[in-house]
Amino acid sequence: MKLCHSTSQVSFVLLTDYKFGDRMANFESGFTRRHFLVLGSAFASSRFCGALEPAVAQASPQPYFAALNRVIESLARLGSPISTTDAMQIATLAQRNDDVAVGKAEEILRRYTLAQLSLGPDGAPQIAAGDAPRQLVEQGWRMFLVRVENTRSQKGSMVFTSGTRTIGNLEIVSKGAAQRTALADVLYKGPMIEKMWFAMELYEPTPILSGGVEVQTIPLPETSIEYHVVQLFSRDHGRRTTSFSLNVLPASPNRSFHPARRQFDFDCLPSHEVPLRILDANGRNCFASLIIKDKLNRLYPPKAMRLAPDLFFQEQIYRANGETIRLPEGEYTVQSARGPEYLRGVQTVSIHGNSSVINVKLERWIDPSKWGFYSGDTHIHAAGCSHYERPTEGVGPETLIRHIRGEALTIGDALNWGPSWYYQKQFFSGGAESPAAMLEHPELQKAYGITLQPQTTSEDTESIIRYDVEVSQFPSSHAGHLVLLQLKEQDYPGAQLIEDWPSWNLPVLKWVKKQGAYGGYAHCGLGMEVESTELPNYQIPPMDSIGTQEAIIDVTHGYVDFLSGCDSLPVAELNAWYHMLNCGFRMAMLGETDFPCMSDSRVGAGRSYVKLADRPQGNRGYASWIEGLFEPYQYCGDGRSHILECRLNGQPLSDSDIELQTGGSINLEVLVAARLEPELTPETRARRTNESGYDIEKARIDDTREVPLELVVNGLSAATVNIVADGVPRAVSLKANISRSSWWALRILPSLHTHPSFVHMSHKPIRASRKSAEWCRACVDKVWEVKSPFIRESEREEAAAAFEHARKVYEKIASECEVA
Amino acid sequence: MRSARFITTLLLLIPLWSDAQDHAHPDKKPANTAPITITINPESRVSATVSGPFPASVQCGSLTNIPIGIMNQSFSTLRLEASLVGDSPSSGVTIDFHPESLKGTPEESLSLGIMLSRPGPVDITISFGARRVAHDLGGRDRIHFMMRCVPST
Repeated sequence: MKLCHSTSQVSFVLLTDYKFGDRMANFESGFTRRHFLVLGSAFASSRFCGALEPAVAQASPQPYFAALNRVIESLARLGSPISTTDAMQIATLAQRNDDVAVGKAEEILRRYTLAQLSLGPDGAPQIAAGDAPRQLVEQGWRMFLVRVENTRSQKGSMVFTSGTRTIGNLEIVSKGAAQRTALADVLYKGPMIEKMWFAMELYEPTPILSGGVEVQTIPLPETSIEYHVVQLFSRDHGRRTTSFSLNVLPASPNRSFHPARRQFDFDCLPSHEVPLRILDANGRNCFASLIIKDKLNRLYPPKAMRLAPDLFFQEQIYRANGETIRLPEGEYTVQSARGPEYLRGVQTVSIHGNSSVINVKLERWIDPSKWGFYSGDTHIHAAGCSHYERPTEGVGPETLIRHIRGEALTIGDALNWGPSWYYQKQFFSGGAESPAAMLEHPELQKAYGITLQPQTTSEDTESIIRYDVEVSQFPSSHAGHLVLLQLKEQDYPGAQLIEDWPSWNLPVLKWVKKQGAYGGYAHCGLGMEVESTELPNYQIPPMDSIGTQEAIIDVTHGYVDFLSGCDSLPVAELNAWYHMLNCGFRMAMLGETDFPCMSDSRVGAGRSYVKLADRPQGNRGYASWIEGLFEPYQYCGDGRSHILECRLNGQPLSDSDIELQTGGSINLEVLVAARLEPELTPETRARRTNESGYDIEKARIDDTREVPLELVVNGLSAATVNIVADGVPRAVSLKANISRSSWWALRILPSLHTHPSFVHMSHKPIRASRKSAEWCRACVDKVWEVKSPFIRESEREEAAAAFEHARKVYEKIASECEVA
Repeated sequence: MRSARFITTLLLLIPLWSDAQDHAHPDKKPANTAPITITINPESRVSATVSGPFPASVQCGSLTNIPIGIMNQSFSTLRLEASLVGDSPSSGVTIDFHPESLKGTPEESLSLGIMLSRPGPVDITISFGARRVAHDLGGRDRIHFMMRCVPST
């Protein structure tokens, strides 16, 4: 029924779509446009309609809804989702999955459809208008659907373009223009540029070569109806008109058609440069993370065409006090935040005229720096993964520092790595810097009409960036990715190319140590996953990925400073660390994001907190912070829980190990603060389902607002206190008996883990568990089995000796353990 | 003579080395025209693309093996997994993908078994990944394509 109605409407549109200037010139008998419309309408709705109308679209429900779901996901990804009600209705219809459901979905989608593209009975292209309000926004992008109908299952592609030229195709003249002066030959192009008010981009088009030129096309759908996303940009405001053309490129061209053309009027809303006033909780101006959406849940600026410093894979943008955002008039929801130590602010703002301002007053729930703690993320990338695919692309330090400041990180380590190595390594200076958050390519911003003028803030110097290295996509990467910090040199001795580096990690770590730098293993949980969710557990991991693997060998040689986690499965990250600590080895666990690879949500999703007397500044401050990573007060996590003070047996924690002569106990007095959202929401419940990475939501006890703080001794939970996670620092006590040399740490899993502290009894080394040593010994064999084929033949003998050394060390440790 | 023997040995070893270490070519295109190409990036993220034509039609109820080209940039020896995305029972699609662990070499081949039970076109979306490893970002872990089956005679 609905489809029949739809068809009548299409017929009507087709009749009204004839170009009156061309076709109606033949009617010279007083037959007016109105006559034509009335007659056309009557004709279209008559019983003869069926004989003349195009074939009714009979979309097969399954392919129709499968493709439609992808389009709906695309709109959401672009920051222009369909309404929640409509999305839910379509989801229900997709479940129903029949012809009636298709008809009802078509009704809903009409409201989002700019144009309906189809082929006539003879295969000629046709454009009809959809029902979407034709509203654009000055200096902004809007998303629409185009409906493509291919009832006769023709093969080929459609080329849907706008008639408005843009700067990029200014010089293109039609092939038939040789006999007369082409527009492009004019000396003064101002009038042409004035007309270039509009741009159009298909989302995820299919490029094909046509006449030697790459053309963005829509493949004719195999099913009869398919939707695509089109993005429209307006330079101007006010009423504007443009035309669209539709060409068809048949798979087997036996007949050619003139392109269909149709004019569309648009109402382009004016937009304004809206100043931002951003104040930190202490009243100083600063950067903030902002998510700005209109009443229809559309994101500003849209993700579709973001240029750095705004990243297309994030919802948020980072802005400093005094900077601007361009918005059309209307009402907006502005979410503001600045990393996990801040409360998320939500406000509604109205933009009217040029006097509108967005005021953001940030509010903290905790300021760890009041207790001397400063945060850092030691694994950030400026290129690769979610950034851009090309090695020369990515972002520069001017952009990355904006993100680091916007998440209130004190330290950000930008790691150069394989996919961007030869381009990004230019930013390595061997020092820590705090550059201004300028535009890295202002000419691109200008070309794009963006008027953002970067501003400095009072807190800019509180964030430091340093370029270092991740050994990823290097010859030794198979054995686990190394994070190298505080390097003086970033090129391995004698290496001209990445391929010249060693094919296993120990030589790299030795070189790192030699230059006074630090090395450890990134995303340490990868390749360490087992069935068990116990900690510790004794299952041997597959060692089939790029985490802790060779660390188990290298630590016996004294060259592993840290494991780095908080971004993969917590049990997989911690199990090997616990076993190695149980063997008496010492290494830190650091918090990292591996942005934007393990996560592209934001920098500082995983982070480490280091206790220092003063806020770290410059090279010296950076060096102090790095040294602090290996001190007892250090903790890593998601920044939503904090161990602010800790006293052991009445004394502050010390760098030195505690010596006990006989069995005794450790009594801890801890000041701890954690913050869960007050209540479970769909968003927080969704966060619980993500197994990977640290997030305090996964520590929530049932539906309460409590999380467990555990005292861990030799990898086993020795005492637990449930604390209310309302953000208020609370003093709690934990106690554990110690009967032999041990290590201990605190954890709120998976939100926080402290650095281990060590207790010695009768000056004996830590030999906490024979099973741990045996587990490590077995892992050496497993790592060799899986990884040795990737070690160069020329290096294999040395590697084999290093592995054999590790076997002997673990066997010796196992023999020294008193406890199974 | 001794140097000649050394060079000969070296030449014999080069293929071994290049097999294992010929990995740093992120832009290298798959040599095959398999309908599906899976790339495991240096961070072990698994992404997939449609890289060749699928069979125009297959026989309903029969398992069709679709070749997959693997571009392994991370030496990963993970065991790949595949799952249908947004599938409803009415689609009548089942997949069979239980490969051995990857060898870790830069290129290898696998195949994906697809069985269609209902005649007519079906739009299939498949997500590729590895167990307990985060999938690639931005939806790059999945591909979609159309297949159709004809009833067996």
